[in-house]
Amino acid sequence: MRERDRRSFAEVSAQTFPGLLLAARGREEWAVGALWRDLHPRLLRYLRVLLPAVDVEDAVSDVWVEVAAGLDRFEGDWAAFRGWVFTIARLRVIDARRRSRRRKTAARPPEAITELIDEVSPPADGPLRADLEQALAWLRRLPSDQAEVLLLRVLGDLSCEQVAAVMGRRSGAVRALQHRAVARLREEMVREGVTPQPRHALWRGDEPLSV
Amino acid sequence: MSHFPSDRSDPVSDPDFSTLWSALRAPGFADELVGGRSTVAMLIARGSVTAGPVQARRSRLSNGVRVRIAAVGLAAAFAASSGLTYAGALPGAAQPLASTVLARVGVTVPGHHENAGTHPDRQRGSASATSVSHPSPNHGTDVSTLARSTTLTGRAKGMAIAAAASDGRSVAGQANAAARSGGHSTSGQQTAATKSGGRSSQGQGHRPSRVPTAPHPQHPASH
Repeated sequence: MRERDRRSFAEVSAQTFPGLLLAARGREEWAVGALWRDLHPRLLRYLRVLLPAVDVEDAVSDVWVEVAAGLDRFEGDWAAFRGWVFTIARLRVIDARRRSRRRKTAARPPEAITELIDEVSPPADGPLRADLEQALAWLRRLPSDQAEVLLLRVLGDLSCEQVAAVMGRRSGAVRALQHRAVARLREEMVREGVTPQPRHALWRGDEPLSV
Repeated sequence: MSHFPSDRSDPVSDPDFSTLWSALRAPGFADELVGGRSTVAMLIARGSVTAGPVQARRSRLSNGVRVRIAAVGLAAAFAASSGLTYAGALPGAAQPLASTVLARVGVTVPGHHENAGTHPDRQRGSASATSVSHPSPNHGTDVSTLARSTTLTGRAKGMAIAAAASDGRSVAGQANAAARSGGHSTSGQQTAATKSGGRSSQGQGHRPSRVPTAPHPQHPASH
């Protein structure tokens, strides 16, 4: 494949995905790398909300191993690919929770782990990274299924129907969960004295976020 | 810094949370993309292995065919083991277990009691073992009762007990009896008669008393 085409595939989109998938099936490093660069941060954030920090690395590794193994069998477009990858991630979340229940020692709560990580290695990417951490912290306050719906819709960029397929629920149930999640999120923010208005400070004491 | 490309409009339409979603959609940070090159290399290597010729060979049979083959094999194994169990031809340790399992599903097969007294490993498949018929479940008790209640004595008693214990197949003592009643005694008497010119009665008076005086091999303390 020519260098110009490779550069055009650097960003994954609905238009570039078919060619990129073809190249990834041919074990082209740049194609696999492009998919990984796009999806890996999304998967990490999804897993960091739903799992204790100690389980995140293992889970995300398992997801990529399965993706690599099933790449030749996958058929569909970019949205279907994201849905497939997040379906695998969701199954790994279920597995990790099952293992965690069998584990005799309790894992530290995510907040404690996050604090510990922050102490050791403060985010080097400035306010944007801080915004991300705060957003993940808000989502951790939600019940797991509500947080998952929001994560799949935002991080997976999936429709309600696609989220329903990933979660094995009806789309009406997903819409209801999403409605409750947003209402609960607003309630939490109001309780914390944060008014969720665009172009205003989202968290107490912070500068307004730039979108 | 650009955000994740979106193929559709904002999934959660409430504008109050747009900053929250923007923060979530921020592109990968440096610490999130650590080890990307080695991970991609591993994924390529692993993908090549899993999509290699071994997997291609295995995929020639569909799952439905594999299930059918497994089902036929399982049924054949079950039928074979049930037949061996019914014939009482399984090894000693397996027979009572199989008997118990089959009894739970309503199939009666010989258990280990029917083969009591025989070595477990000798039950396997020999013609004599499989053709033995046991008339009574209290066979041992019957033989014991006979041994204690019979009025027979000596060799006759032994032969009777042996015959009862073996369902008439025992030939214990019969060869000796034939030898003693025919060859040995007669020849002795003939020899004595020849030597004495017909006057000797040697052996005739002692003959009945010779057999009981032989020490019993199983109860030496009683003599």
